[in-house]
Amino acid sequence: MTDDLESLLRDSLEARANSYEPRGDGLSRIRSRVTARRRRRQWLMPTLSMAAVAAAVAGVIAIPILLPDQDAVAPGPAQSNVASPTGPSASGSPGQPDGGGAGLPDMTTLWPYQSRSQAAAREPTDVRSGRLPFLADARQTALHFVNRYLGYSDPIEVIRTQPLEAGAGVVLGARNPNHALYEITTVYLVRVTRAADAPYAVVRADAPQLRISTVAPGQPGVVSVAGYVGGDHQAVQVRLVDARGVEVISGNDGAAGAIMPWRVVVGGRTNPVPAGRYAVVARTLSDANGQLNELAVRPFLNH
Amino acid sequence: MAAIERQPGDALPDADAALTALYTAHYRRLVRLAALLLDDLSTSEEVVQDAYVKMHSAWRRIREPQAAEAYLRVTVLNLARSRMRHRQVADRHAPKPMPDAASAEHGAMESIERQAVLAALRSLPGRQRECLVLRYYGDLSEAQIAESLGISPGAVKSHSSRGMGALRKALEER
Repeated sequence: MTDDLESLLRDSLEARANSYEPRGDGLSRIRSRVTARRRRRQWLMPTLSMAAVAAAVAGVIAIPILLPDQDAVAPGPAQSNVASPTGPSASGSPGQPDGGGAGLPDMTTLWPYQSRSQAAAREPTDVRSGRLPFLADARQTALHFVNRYLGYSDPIEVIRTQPLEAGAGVVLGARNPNHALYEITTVYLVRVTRAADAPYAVVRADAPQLRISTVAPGQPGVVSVAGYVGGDHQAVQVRLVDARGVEVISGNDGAAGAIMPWRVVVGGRTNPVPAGRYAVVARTLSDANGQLNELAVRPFLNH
Repeated sequence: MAAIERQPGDALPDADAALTALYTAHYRRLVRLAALLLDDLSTSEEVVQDAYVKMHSAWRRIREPQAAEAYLRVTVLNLARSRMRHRQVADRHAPKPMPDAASAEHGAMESIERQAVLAALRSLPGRQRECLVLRYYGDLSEAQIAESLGISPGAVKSHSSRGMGALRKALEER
């Protein structure tokens, strides 16, 4: 009976399918949509490209002096949602602009320290003692950040490193099934002191076509994350990762199309986002094989 | 089913060339696959055209004909499911069609038994229906179905078994 039913089902499906005859203009319709999309992208991409160039230029200049309320992280209703670098977590005196007396301005960092001054205070025990030796190398720090801290186990590799004043930008990529490299993200790092062998700390990560434009607290326990995505990305996933690398919450937005705004609201009454310091991680989900695609990361302090 | 056979050392096709080759190889069958799930040729063509546009845009990451075929299939299934959900909401507010109206126009071409099988198939939950269509029309293995639907091979086995059981029961009760 099973074989009979299988055979009957197969024949029925084949017969029904053969009754559907697609129109002959499918390819021309697809091509015209591809062309329209290309034109739209040519018109829109300069906007994003200019923003990317501006960000890269600003990165060279601004990363060493990045202020804590940068990163397009919107302030909360009454106060900044990014911790003061000279607040309780910083080792320097309140209000002191210097990062632990190292001759560099203090700033918020993402990982593995919360600020440059905290890093300068802990660096002798973490790096010189050999506890976290990889922090002395920008490439290794960027790889550890994505693989170990953010928890993406995909095989990623360094495409190139851009030296920046008192820091570096490390471009990471992955290989498609044909082993061709494509860019996933650029991890920006700063040296925590002026010493030539000073360890690095991650400040942020930018993706080629995925941008986080705002991270803002809304109702109590709710965080709204928004941005733009280019290329063909079926969805954007947002995760809030705490200082220990534990994901506390995540959400998706089904953005699609050429260049689309996206917005993900996480938290709520039943699962409020706890107060704390987070890495806001946005990634695109579009590959059929589930590979890590583009990745952008910003720091965020939820009061 | 693969159309772009590539030998080691061959240059990779660019996105436009790949689009043409993949269209020739898979378009008609993908439209028919979508139509079996959606029961609507026009919507199925739109869904498959959407999938090709997305594939063209994502070619930088795909670049491999076999991966492109899988990408197209997954995208078609996702888009068809999305259309189905939207239609289910719209259908709640639409006048009810005559029983089995969709198959009536094809009645002359199909035996009564086949119509009964297809009617029973349409009444199955989405996952069961997808598993059976991919298995018995797409000729995919359990592993390929699992990959296409983003579920485990065990779940494919379970959905397929329940779907076949429901079909058998529906035919026996006729």
